[in-house]
Amino acid sequence: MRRTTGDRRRFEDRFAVLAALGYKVAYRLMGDRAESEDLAQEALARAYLRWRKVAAYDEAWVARVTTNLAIGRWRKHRRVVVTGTGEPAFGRFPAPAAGADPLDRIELVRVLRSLPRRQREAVALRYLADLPEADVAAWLGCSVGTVKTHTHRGLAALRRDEEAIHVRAS
Amino acid sequence: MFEHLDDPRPPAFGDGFRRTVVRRAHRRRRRQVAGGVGVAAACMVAGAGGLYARAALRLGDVERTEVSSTGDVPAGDPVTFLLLGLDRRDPGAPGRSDTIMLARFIPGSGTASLLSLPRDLMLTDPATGQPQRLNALSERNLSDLVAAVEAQVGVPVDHVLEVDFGGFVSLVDQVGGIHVQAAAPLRDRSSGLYIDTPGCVELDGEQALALVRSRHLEVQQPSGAWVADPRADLARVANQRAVAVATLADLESRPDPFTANQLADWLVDNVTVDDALSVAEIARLIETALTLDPGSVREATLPVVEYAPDPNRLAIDTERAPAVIAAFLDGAPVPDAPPIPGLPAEPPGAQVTAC
Repeated sequence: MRRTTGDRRRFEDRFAVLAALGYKVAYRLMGDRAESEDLAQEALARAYLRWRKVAAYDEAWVARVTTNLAIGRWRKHRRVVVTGTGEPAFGRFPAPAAGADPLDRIELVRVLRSLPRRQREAVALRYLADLPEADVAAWLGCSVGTVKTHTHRGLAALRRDEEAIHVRAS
Repeated sequence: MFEHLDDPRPPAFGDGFRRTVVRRAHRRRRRQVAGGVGVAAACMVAGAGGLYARAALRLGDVERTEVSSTGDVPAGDPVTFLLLGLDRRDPGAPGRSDTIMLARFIPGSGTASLLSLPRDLMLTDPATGQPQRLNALSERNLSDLVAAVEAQVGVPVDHVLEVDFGGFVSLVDQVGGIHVQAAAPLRDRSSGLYIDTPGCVELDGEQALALVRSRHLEVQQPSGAWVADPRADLARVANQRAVAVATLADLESRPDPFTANQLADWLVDNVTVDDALSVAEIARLIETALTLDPGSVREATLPVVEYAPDPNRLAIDTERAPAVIAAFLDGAPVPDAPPIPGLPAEPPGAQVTAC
């Protein structure tokens, strides 16, 4: 038999968890409600279409796909104009939510894009989706120690970048 | 780590959001079908099953219903369908499932097996946790029906196919009638069945429908008297399988090149499938239906016992069912169906088989 019956998760039952997760990951990267809902919907629609394959590791799958969709979206709207005041104006995006520095997002996306795939996935799953290290390891098919190495290097790259920003800003 | 980037007031993800997700999924699938997948499927089957590219492309238009937890099955793997025969006179009405049958195709051995689930079977409703009759479950929500069958009968369901009465009649008529036999004349005054001669007879769509609907079957004895078949619904589910095998046999005995296309057209016009069934899988199903040896089809009714709280309902026979289900999954010969305790056996001549 291809799978065991009875313990298989149903999309309906997992929907609320996955929608909230997809939205969270998207919002951390996009900072815009409509864009984030759109990305979460897209990721969930894709999960729904191949639910059988996705069900076993649905959170990791949705987090990864949402991250990739968000990075793709940023690439598409690459023309982020930095205005004279130093506040970035988003190409066609509405004003970013108050309270969070949009620069964080731009840099975050930039660094994520520059990371090797495994590192990027480790950082996205561990810190954008806030999944436990053990889950990230299971999804990446590696040990918890390797996840730590990947996320550590990914974060180091991010910090280097942040310092650079702060130097530039001062 | 990135909590400072969170939306302080995230939206609620209710039913509206979920419906949008499902709609988008369907749009995506249609786009995929319109693109490469449909063409690939068309080319793949155009030679093998005699299916013309036009018909194969049209398969993308088959009606879909939302069922969670179904998914595509790679070519070469066994695949299990839940077949529902709907009593729907009025198109658009939800309809009640008169026929609930599992069909499994095993490509490796080229065999298939059929397992009828009696509609009076009581299962636990996954939504409420209360016992519910099988056909009441099917009326409400196919996802719950599939979940209940998988968890409680123990058969993984890959896909769902729904046909209503009109669709069934038109299939039999397009095949040109199906052939069944019984050792004695049969009738059912409520469903309108009347087979006046023993032996192999040809049934048209209306008579085939009267047979699959018959719950008050009567058998004529040599004395001329008509004797009721006490198996009632259990006789009906056995007849439904006989009709399914007979339909396969008559499909197979007509190997003209138009059959695959007729079948594809019939499917698009009359069948509703789950939203995860790919066009390639539908094409494989058509090919299987046309090439399967009807003699290799193993069949059984899920072994049942009287449901303790209500003698008019049935429960799974936990002693005998596992062996029958294992045989169903393997496509192996089914152990002899034991008589149901407390139920008299069928009158002589009531057994209907394909011929």
